[in-house]
Amino acid sequence: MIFRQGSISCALLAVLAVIAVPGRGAAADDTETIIIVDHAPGEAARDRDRALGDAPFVTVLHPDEHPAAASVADAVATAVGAHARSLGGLGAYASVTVRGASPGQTAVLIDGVPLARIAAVTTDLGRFALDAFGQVDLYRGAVPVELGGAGVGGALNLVTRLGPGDHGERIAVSVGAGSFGARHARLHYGADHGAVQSSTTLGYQAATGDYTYYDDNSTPLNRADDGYRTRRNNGFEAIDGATRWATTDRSIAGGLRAAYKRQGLPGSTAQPSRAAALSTGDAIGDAALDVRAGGATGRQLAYFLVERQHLDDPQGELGLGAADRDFLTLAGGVSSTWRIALGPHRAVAGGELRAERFRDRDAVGRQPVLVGNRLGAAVTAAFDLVIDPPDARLVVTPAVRLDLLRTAPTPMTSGPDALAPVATRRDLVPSPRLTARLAATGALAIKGSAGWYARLPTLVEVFGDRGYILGSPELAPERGPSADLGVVWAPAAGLGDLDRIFVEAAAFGHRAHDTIAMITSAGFVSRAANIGDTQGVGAELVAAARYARVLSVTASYTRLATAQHNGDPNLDGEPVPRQPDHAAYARAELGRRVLDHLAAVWLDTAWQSASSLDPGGRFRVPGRALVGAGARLELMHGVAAALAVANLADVRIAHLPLDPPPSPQLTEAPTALTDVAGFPLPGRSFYLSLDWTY
Amino acid sequence: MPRIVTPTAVFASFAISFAGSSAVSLLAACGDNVTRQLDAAPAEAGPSRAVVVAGDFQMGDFGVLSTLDPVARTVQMDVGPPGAVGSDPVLRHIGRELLIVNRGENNVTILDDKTLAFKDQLGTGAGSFAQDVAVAGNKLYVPATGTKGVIVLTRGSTATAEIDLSADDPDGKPDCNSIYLVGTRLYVACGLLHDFVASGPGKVYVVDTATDKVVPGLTVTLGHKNPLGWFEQFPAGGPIAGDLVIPTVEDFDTAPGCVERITPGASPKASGCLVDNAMLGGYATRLELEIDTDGQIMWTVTGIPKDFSHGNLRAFDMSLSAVWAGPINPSSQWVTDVAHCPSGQLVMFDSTMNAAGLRVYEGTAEKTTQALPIGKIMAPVLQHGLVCY
Repeated sequence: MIFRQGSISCALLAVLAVIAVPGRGAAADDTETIIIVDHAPGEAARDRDRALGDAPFVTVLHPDEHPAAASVADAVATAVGAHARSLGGLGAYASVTVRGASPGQTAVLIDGVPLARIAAVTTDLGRFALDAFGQVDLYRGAVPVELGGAGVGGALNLVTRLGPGDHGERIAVSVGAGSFGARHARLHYGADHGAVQSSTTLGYQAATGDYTYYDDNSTPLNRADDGYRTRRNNGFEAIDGATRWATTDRSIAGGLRAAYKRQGLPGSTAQPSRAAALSTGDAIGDAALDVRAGGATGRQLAYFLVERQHLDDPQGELGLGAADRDFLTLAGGVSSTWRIALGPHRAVAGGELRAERFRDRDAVGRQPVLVGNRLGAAVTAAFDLVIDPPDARLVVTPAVRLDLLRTAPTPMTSGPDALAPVATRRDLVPSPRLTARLAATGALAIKGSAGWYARLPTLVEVFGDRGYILGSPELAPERGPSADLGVVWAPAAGLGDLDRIFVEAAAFGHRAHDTIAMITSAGFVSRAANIGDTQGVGAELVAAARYARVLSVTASYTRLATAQHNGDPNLDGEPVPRQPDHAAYARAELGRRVLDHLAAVWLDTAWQSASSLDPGGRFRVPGRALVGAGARLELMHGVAAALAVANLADVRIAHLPLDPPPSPQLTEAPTALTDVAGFPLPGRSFYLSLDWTY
Repeated sequence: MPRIVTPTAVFASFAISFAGSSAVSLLAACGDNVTRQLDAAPAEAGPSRAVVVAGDFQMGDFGVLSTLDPVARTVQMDVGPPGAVGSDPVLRHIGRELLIVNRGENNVTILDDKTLAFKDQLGTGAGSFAQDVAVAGNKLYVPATGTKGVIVLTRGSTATAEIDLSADDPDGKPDCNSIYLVGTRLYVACGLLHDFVASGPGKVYVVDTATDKVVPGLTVTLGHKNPLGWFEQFPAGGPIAGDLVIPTVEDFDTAPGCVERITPGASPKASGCLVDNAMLGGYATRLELEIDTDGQIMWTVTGIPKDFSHGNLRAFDMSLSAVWAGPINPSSQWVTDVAHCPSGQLVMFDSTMNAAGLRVYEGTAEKTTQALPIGKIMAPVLQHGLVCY
């Protein structure tokens, strides 16, 4: 369901975008004196319809509701049910967990094309600039079968916007700079060409990431050596470009997206790295064509992905010896999905073929090359069953997806096991799903879903890396059920001075069997192992409204209870580490015309409760609240400036409770504010951006 | 050394050193300057106590410290001060103190060995990769593989100094992994690795604690590459009293490599192999010398080649100059650490997945019926995380 906490009724929360285009407000609603319209009415209606429609619970994230330099991870972090973890700073590695599932349980797609998961299941969402996309759909529960196998953590689909903007603008230019060397420039051109729409984007983003952080010198019980130090080798530079074309009815569509990023790898504060770097270049292309056969319509899709990464660690600072390695991932696939109306009902069936290849090569030839491939085929079927035609208030959609995958490494070409055959692995993964929606009234819908999802182990988890990571050929896929049930209330009309009201409440639960974790073993080596089950149950609440067409408020709350059901009795029942029991996000935005210029200010806060630091749940990281603020001012027609302040209170220290205290003076241990231990987050930062649309 | 993996799934691997010849086991003459580092203080009457530290290898996580009564076979779980034990701890018992070297967090934590009260925590510096510790007066000497050799810490101070032992290693980091104080001299074992590959046989440098400088001309060259475990010293009164022993393993196979002897003294020397890895059926990762009566048994935790999820406990009988037949433990147990108690029991750590814990043996007979859990730690794998005194 829609609307990230901050995005209700589309229009409300993104005042910023609106003000940049003064004409938009008037175009959207001539009766409004306050220009708080982020999207055209059509956009607002679309999101509302989607919230009340038969889609599963989806949070739609819009770039214009976030600071110009925000990453996809930054945006997803504000969504109800989602929790992001960053290694710190703009452009740093960031992953997201949804409803308490592990990051690998959330599939990531770009324009419906699933990213390769043969080498790693967790996608770095910090490397995608949010502004490079038109919107981001976070499927928190059920995932349509067309979007792949997914996991119990749902799916994230990054969608390119086609055509001109909400208010007809074709060109959008944005530049900005901020703290710690952050800067960006982006050009977007979207146009109508008669029956064809296009979108072309070019972007540049960079930062030095040299913020200061609290360093306890890795001695939590000795404060005499504590101090503030500067993060080094934490910068990045990235460029990206994308072009996408489609007919207005989307029956033909295709696009190409490419990006390159080079980033420093700063290491942890305990084991910092001054020279290690990682570069990533990737390209994704797809083409889709709708064809008709009788009463059926079939979408034919073909795509490819190429990702090349190069790790350079000349001084062996990452702890694995000097490295000069290339990682190459190739993937390609085709699918055919057919839809046909059967009276009031609709049937969907399809098939997919996909191939992936991964190569890990030591650029200086010290290690044997690891090469592996995965071939997959899937059949999908779904049926939109209208229970009460013709009203279609109750729609039930059973669906099933069946994946058959073959994973195999090539034999090593050197070493004691050179040319020794390696057994091929085959997996048959069914993932049945059921969604249902009852439109109780025109403004109230009750929705639910249940499904069985799986994520396959990666090539390295199964076969090892021929050195440091041992293979685990018998590793089982992570798999398990996920279900949710909730209600959406989104009245079209206002209530007194309140309008754009949106309320969503949902309860969810999932259980992943055979959770895969890397277990460090003797001799500094690791191996992947199925360590048991993990489960999460919880509830989500989102509420948003606009008051007097001036003040927009949105708030969300997530309650989450996780547990490990581990074979190890010491850990059984303990919560999943770093998953807070409670999380909330709230944002208020005030917008109006000042001296004939559109202006808006906003304030937001993200709060999370204490969470356990370790799998044993013995030590708890205290809760925290981070506050942000910003303002946006129209300078002249089509030109606006925005200032965003993150971590307004400059929170940089977390105080770990020490219970029992080692000494009367040591009741707590101050340590750096982190999402991941050893990787400090920045303190207060500013970002000033200027944008022009035409 | 903790694993540090880059955010984007860097699957780097490493190579182990190769080649070299296996020396022959020797039982040589006793050394001099026998000053047992373990239990340097006079033993006090009272029951033995085993102390175990373990972490989960996730940097920043707190580990556990638990104690065991080897006679009653009861465990007091998680009784150490919070923050004292890190994610990858190792443990020395020196004098009346427990010194926890937190390899993942680069610090040394000092506890009172009777009360377990916190005394001090000293940082060795970011990126230092502390490995072991020796104590001389108010100073702590910490070999650290991320440095030029040995870090010198001073109690009550944040100041650190470094002893440079890098002369023989072109990359400037001699990969020193163990240290032992004999008299006023420190014996420091260094692997001289580059990208985890040894450039030659390991070295044992001798450092004078009066000057904190290496003593020229006293450096000992080991018979094999890659010293893996820690120094232990044979107690007075037994065979080869005063000699140091340390395992070497060149390619994590049964050969080449052995338990090597170093005879300290005015002219320290390499005294060959006490027992070859081939005799152990694997490679030694942890040595424990029987400290009661005559010190006739050297217990070795033995890794099984190409199998990083099993390990055996073997016993080398000094009087017979032979390894006892077969492992002491059944094959269902994955032994990763061992300590011999003054009260006679042998305490070992069984790292079997989902059933990890302490086991108590008397001779070759196990007295526990199952592993005794030590606390809420995921998949603990110890090596030098267990002492008994």
